[in-house]
Amino acid sequence: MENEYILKIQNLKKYFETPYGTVRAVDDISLKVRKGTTMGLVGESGSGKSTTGHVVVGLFPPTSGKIFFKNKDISVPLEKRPKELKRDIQMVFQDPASSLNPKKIIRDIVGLPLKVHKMVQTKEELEEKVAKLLEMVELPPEDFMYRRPVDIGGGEKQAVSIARAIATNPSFVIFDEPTSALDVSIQAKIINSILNIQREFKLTSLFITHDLSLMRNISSEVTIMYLGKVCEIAPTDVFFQKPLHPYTQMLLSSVPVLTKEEEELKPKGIKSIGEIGSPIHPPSGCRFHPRCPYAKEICKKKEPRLIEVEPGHFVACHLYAEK
Amino acid sequence: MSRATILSEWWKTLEIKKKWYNFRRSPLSLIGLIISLSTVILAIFAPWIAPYPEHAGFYTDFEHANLPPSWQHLFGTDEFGRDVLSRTIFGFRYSLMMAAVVLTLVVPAGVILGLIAGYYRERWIGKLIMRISDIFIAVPPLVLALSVCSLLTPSAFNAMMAVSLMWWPWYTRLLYNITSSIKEEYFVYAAKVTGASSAHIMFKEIFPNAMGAVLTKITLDVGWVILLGASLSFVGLGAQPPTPDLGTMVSDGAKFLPDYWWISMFPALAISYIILGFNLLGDGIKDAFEG
Amino acid sequence: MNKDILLEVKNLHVGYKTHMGISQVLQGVHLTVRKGERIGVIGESGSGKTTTMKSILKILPSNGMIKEGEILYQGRNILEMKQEELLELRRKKISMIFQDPTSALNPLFKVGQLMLDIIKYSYNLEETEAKEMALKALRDAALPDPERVFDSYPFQLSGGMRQRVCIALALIGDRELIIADEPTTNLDVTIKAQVLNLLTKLVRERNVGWIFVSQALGAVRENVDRVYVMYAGNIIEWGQTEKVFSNPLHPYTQKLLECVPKLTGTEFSKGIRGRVPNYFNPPSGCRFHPRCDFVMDECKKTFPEPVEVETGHFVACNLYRRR
Repeated sequence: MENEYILKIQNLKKYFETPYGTVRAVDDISLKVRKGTTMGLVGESGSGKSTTGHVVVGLFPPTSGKIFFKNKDISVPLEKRPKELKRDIQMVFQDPASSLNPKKIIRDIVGLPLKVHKMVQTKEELEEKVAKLLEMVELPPEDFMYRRPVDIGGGEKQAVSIARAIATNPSFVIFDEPTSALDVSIQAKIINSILNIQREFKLTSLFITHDLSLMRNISSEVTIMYLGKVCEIAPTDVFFQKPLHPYTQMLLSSVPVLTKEEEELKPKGIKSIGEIGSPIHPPSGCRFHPRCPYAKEICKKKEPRLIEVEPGHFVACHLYAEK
Repeated sequence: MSRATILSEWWKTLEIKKKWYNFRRSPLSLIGLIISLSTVILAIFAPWIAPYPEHAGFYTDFEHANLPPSWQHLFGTDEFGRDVLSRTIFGFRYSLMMAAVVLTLVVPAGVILGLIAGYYRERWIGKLIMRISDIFIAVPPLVLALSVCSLLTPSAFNAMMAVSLMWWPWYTRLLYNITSSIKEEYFVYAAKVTGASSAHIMFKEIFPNAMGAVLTKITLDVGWVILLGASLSFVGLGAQPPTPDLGTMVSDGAKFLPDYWWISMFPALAISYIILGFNLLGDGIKDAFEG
Repeated sequence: MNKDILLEVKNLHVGYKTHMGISQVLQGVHLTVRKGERIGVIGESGSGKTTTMKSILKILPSNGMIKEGEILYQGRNILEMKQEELLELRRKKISMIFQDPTSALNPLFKVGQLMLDIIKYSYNLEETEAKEMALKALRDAALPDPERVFDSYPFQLSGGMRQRVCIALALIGDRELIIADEPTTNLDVTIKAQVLNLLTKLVRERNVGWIFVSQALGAVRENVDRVYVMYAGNIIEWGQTEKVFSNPLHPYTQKLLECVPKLTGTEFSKGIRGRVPNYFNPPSGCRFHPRCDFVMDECKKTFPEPVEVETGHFVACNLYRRR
């Protein structure tokens, strides 16, 4: 039963010391990702979603808490992780422009993981493998193998990033806002590439984004974060039909949509108000209380715990605490 | 892909055409290029270009000493009767040689130290390297070079060593700054996540992005190293007579000012010519890589 | 709503000089804005939206060239104006809000200093009167505690607040036309909604013309009266918002709308085949023809004449020429 969960995060905290104070980027979150599924991680700025991804992949050490991958404790930064782990966990970053070394050619960028993990012996083998990877992300190898990032478009850069991430056939990939910087039609193409790859490789993913419409189409489960805390976790369909947390409702009602059917889906009567709080001095108790239309006395004093309201559906809100 | 195609593809990746376009947009850069090339040509082909190559070494002809500029001697002659023009042309050779030797020693060492210091800036090794380089930078260049030279026997070689000793920290500092900022770029993170070694990241990921700045600095430094070398020779700590070093020539001729002005003036102008040329070229190279 | 025409762009042709030659970007762009009207300009990156906006204010980069066309502001051609008149126009009549509020505000100066600088330069007022004007603008931009914002540096404010400062700057005095180029792209979902609502309210109250340039199709749909769709430097479809979005005519518009992920989770398209054209060697005739499923011979020859397919809904496509 435990083998079902490829990633388990327990009480993870990540704080950053800055001259302005301690930034509580991730403040005690726990979640589990089932093998072969895509967990969507949604939040606005300051939510801690990107930081979570960075800590899981090892770019930052956790301040406290544990991360389990395939039941092994990996709560250490990259330098301390075994090399095989870096074959198995990969990441696609948000900014296409800075994700690729401007001075290298595509063949070397995508080929680096193959070289590092000694998966190819000769130059011909390298080019063969890279060509296959490029084809998988729909970039014709003849055109792209020897180009530099500066000559290709944003969508194509992200496709290269994806090819690089899957080069070593990892079991787990973290996608950190991979299409936020891309045009609408390019985003569609890249998302479809990702979906195809996930199907073919039976990939488990953590998909970080702020775009709820995208989330609907790509994830099997959704986690909502606000100011370093988890607000709600639910399977995707349940989440969109029955959003429980007031923040979730506010998010959904703010999403701009194109069709009448989508309009119907948005929660009515809850408007977006207030500014997102500061992660250095977060509001007391429930961090969302200054903006919450249902805030009660207890919300200012006590942080709500994450409870399972129905199977697989978790909420951290005092409105549901009694039940 | 055939070897020829790979080579031609690699050539294309250098983006020479774009860099050349950016370079030639400024007429001053082109002037700089011409001047720099001319100094290099003069330096290399000195024995064939100079009208009186033998005057560059030990030569005396007191009958024709201190002659003003004329058609036989375009730059006049000095106190020993040597042709100033020929000696100036040979002077280019020694100056550029000094720049070449110093930079060949200083650039690799400074760059490697800078990469390491920047990459490990939070660790003790990074801080140690930067503090050492700070010490060298804090001392004014001429003072440092003078102290070193006076401890050792004055010679061209020792002058080069002295200049090298105080020049390396600038490259370390440059690379430290560049490395510090680049190492936070996502492509470096990506390389780390992939499992690449620190050595790979420093030399194959970060350094190629510093090439433009390093090349620009090298070009600009040619002028300044030569000036520093000439300053040392001016006070007698560099190349010794009869070597036709530009700085020595200015110094030797100084005592004849203002009567026999040509003995100092032309070598001094030559120094300015070199510095001007490489400065303009350096600006052009900066444009080429940035533009 | 006063139906006076504020801005009329006619047959605008713009190109850029680069080391690869002269690019032909805008090909006969046209646009009309009336007082109190909210206009949307949608298109993907590289379609020429920003080039058009920069041409209106004549702030193209040094290698930009306006080859042909007229830009009439209340009848006067901006392209023929002398420097004095152009400066007056920029100071008093037209203002622009850019995508990144962080780089639009000089980080070395307090917000108040920036505003006073602009007001004193444009209106020649005394310090106290200028400050009154600035505070009023900040209040109108729904900034809580305008005095505090006035005394703050940009980095002390959140992204949403910075953008509202930019809106305040854009509204100083009696502006008649506001051009907003992706004003909410860098903002969080819940803040986006607030800022767009604010802009809409102000535009209505003051009867100013507003051009909303964006790739965020949903946001544009919910906030403008008429919309122009751009592709590769051409306006290919335009008209009343509801009509264009519920009945997209041009194959590009149809495909574009299909690419947007839907909140309802219905399948979305795999993107548009082909690539955005190269402006140095653009396709002949209709620039979309290489990627169009309905391409005909005429499409390759000349750019299609626009046709009014239903009242207030125009399209430039040969599919509709027969009628």
